[in-house]
Amino acid sequence: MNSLERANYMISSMAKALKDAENVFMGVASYLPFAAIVLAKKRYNPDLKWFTILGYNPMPKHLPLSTVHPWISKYCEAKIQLGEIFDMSARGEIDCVFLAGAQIDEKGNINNSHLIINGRRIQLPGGAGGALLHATAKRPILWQGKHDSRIFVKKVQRITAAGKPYKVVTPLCVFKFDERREKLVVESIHPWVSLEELQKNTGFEVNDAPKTEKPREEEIAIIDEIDPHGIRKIELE
Amino acid sequence: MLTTLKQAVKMIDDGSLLCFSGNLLYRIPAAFARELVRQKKRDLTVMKTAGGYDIDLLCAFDCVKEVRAGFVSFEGFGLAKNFRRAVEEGRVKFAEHTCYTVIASLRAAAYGIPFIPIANISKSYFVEERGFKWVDDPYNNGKVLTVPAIKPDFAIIHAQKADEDGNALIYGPWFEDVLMCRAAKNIIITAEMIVPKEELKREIDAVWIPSYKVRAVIEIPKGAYPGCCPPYYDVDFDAIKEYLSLDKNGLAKHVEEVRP
Repeated sequence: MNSLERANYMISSMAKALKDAENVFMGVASYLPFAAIVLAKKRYNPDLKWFTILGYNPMPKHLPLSTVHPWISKYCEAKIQLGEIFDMSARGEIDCVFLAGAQIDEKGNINNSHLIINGRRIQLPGGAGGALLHATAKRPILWQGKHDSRIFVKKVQRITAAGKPYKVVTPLCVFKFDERREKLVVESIHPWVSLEELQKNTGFEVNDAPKTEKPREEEIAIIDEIDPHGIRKIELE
Repeated sequence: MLTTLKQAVKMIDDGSLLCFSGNLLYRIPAAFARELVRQKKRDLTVMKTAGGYDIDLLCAFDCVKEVRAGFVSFEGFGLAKNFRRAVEEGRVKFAEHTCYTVIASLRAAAYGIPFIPIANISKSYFVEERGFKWVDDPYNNGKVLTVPAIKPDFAIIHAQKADEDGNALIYGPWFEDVLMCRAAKNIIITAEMIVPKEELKREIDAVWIPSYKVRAVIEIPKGAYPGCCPPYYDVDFDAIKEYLSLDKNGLAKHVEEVRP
């Protein structure tokens, strides 16, 4: 399974998570969410409203090299700004939001701040808008293009953003949040991954789960149309 | 008011608190940042929701003592390695925020009030590190988290057009630019083009930076390079990749050779 095919599984899983969403926000370096939102709008949820820091409800033709490029504003229907999107979320008006984590833990906390490895500080880029959005959006969807036991940990070293994720999508599986146990549980495992392999690459206990549904041909056609050059691979390589 | 880049940068004292326009690689005051390096400014504090080339470059030359931001990176192109190294080596303090608290602090300053209540983000580690405080909610039961007003000494704005007084127009996304102008004590405008007042007035619906706090206005075509300034030019993605590969000597050459 090459990285493009793995990306397609992730995009399809993320798009399905938007099936009954009213609206979604996506920010910086969000190549897979960008493709997933386009797919969701075309295949699953034509009424989905898309919020970006460039404006409201774009329908861009191609996945850009930057997911916050001002070019996107040309495809928008109205103006809205970053601060106003935070206000929306604080008012309870943001439904889904895509958040990436350099480290994600069993409780759904994210670390994008820094790591301490062998006493040495490793500076990460920071969590951008994540702290407010994870805490206040109704259904945060986390994603990460890589999955190993340094990334998926029992407890993050620093909490940059805390909240209850709706789903967590990775190249190995999809997690959902178990409200009763207040932790991530595996919802589906991608078909090229064994339970043993998933456990070996995850820093907390994982459960067995059904195989992730294969993206349909028509879904892949939509993804290829929005990203003919395979920019989406960036996140997995 | 209408002046040169060199003269405008001379107005910035060491130790100043600066806000830069744009976001990541978009409509950033890149030429201004390079001149700050050439004039060897020191101990600056730079504040922005999401920085890239501008903050990274100033960190590479030890112009900065503190960065207040939610995110510093080159997005899909790579990490801001000079920022990263400066923070890891302790030369620069990264006073981590989330973009929301940068905006809230600027709003408080813009509204002329000492602090502002914010939504509860108290599980994020930096809330305690920044010293954000709880206050009693005077109208309801319970407590509310607050952030202090932060008033920049200068907002440095790269705009598409300005008149000779510094009234300035922005096409496309504003990011936090208009807010930082409201909050700041002083404003410096670098513009792709200086146009006659009558011409700017014809586009009044896009002119949201009035000149009254503008202390300098400079015409700098391609002033956001290697970032973009829509609709005139896009990010020079090859130049960004090259920048990210530069060592110390390469960076020194970059700052001298990329003019203005």
